Amino acid sequence: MTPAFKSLALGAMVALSLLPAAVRAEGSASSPGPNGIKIGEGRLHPYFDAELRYDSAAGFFGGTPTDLQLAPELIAHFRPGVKFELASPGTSINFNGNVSYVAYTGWLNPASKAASHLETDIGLATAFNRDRQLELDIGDTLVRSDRTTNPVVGVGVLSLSNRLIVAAPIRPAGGALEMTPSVAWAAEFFQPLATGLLPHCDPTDPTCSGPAIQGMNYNNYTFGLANRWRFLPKTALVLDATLDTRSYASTANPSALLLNISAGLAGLVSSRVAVVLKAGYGRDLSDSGLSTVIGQAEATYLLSETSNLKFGYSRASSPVPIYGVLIDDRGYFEAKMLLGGKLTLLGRAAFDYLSYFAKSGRNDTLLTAGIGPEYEFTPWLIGGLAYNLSSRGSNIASTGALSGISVSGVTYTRHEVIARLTFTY
Amino acid sequence: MRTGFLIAALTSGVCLAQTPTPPPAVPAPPAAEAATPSEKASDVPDPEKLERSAKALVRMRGILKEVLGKLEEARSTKDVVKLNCVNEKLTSIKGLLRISEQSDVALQEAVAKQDATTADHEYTKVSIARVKVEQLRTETEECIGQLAFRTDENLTVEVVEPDQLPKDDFTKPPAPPSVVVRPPPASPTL
Repeated sequence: MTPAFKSLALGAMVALSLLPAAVRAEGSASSPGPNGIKIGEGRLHPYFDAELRYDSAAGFFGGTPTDLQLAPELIAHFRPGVKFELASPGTSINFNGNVSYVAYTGWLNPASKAASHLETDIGLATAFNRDRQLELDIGDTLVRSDRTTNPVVGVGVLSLSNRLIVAAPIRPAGGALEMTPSVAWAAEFFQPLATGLLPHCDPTDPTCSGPAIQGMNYNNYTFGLANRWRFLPKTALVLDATLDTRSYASTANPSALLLNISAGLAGLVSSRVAVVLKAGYGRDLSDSGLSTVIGQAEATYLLSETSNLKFGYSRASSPVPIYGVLIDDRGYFEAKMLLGGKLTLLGRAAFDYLSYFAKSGRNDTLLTAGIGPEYEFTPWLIGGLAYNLSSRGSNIASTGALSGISVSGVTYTRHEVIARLTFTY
Repeated sequence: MRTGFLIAALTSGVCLAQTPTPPPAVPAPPAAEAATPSEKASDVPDPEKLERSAKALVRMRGILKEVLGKLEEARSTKDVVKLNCVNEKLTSIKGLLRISEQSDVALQEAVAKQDATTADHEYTKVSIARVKVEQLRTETEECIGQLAFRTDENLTVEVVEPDQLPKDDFTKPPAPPSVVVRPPPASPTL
């Protein structure tokens, strides 16, 4: 990455991080009640999350250098934040920002303390002229986290990402027809979460070597056009198109020029059933050779305003480092039930089959599932418990640089038990 | 003498105290409105009764003229169904107007004789007749859907959605989320 590129991108991200922003972060406060601090026409809600998590695959802290073992650890999160909401007929502003300290306690493995780090999640969503024919939406999300949308990475990293989107919904005449052109800029920067090196890992291999991972830093521009025609009040025909262009800090990663077009139906088909039925085509206009069908089929059964069951299948393509593009075939299920106005039961499961291009033959699988209750003790105190399962597999051992190794950062099973308290004013 | 003056003053005061005070003025209803049947006729002063009855008759005669015009219109278009419909309403209006005119005369006589009971009765008849004539006028408009096809700047079309539909907008589903991974870190002691 050239110094000028890095300086420009980092400077833009710092500037944007100073803007108020709102995004729903994992573990952040649920929708607050009528409390808060009144500021103009909006309300400001400070909150604090405290979380203790048992992670069975917290990191490669155990075993010997030639036979690494994933080791468990207890991890604490302390997350103060603020949420701001303002809604009027013409304008809405939503901000949600928090800073979190992730503390690897070292109670189970003292070596894990080195992985403690600071995280942040700041998001903004604004809409202006909502009640007019031409609306303007501006949104920004800044996240620093050990989670990443880059599935190629095979070792723990800290990802600093920012995504800015500007959209202009146009609703001529009565508003049944809506066309939304948009442009988005996204950037992601990686740094090692801990300075350890997986055995049998080439130090220059960015998939498993922390110091070399910065070669995957990227800039991504997305140009989109979303169209919908609401032929019924809550049902519409949709036609969406996006063009992604991505470039990386290291030329070892092929650039992507990915076009995705899909059309279909979205909305209510009865008073209790909502569907999304879309089919389309994805093509990489650069060198990877991707040319495939994409689509989504999803059904949601609305038990009530606060309870629903959702299941579906989606096939989507996206740019990735090393391989250029990947296809994600996902089957998923989600359930949410609110009982007695205070107890929320959440459940979800998803299976992703990732197919990488550039003639690699590599395929990954990712199974995720989670279940847990959330209880509102008082309007300002919410408690939650959760169990999460994630199991990842890959055929990379037979195809790539890590052949012969029985343990790798892309083949693991993780069990998490989480207890959380959220205080909101 | 002083005692007699005092007694006279006291008794005159008592007599004055016993004189009934005039009732408070009742706010007159708007002159353009006739009393509705739900309003008690006994609550309406006699002069007001006469005035309202006269105005009701004027109004009913105006409606009669209007309906006669619609009858001519139906006759000119040779629309037999509409003609019969309007004619039926016209017959009822004529009968009600005749009754109202008779009641108006009886009302005037009753008011002159200060016969409150009869005055209330006749006034009520005129009031009810007027409401009925207004209703017949509306029904005349609806003969053969005339009211349904009349458009003016006050005509609005309202789309009524079923009440039980969810409030959320399901026509803008989010794009399928990107896969998110959290690979385990490696310890620096190794």
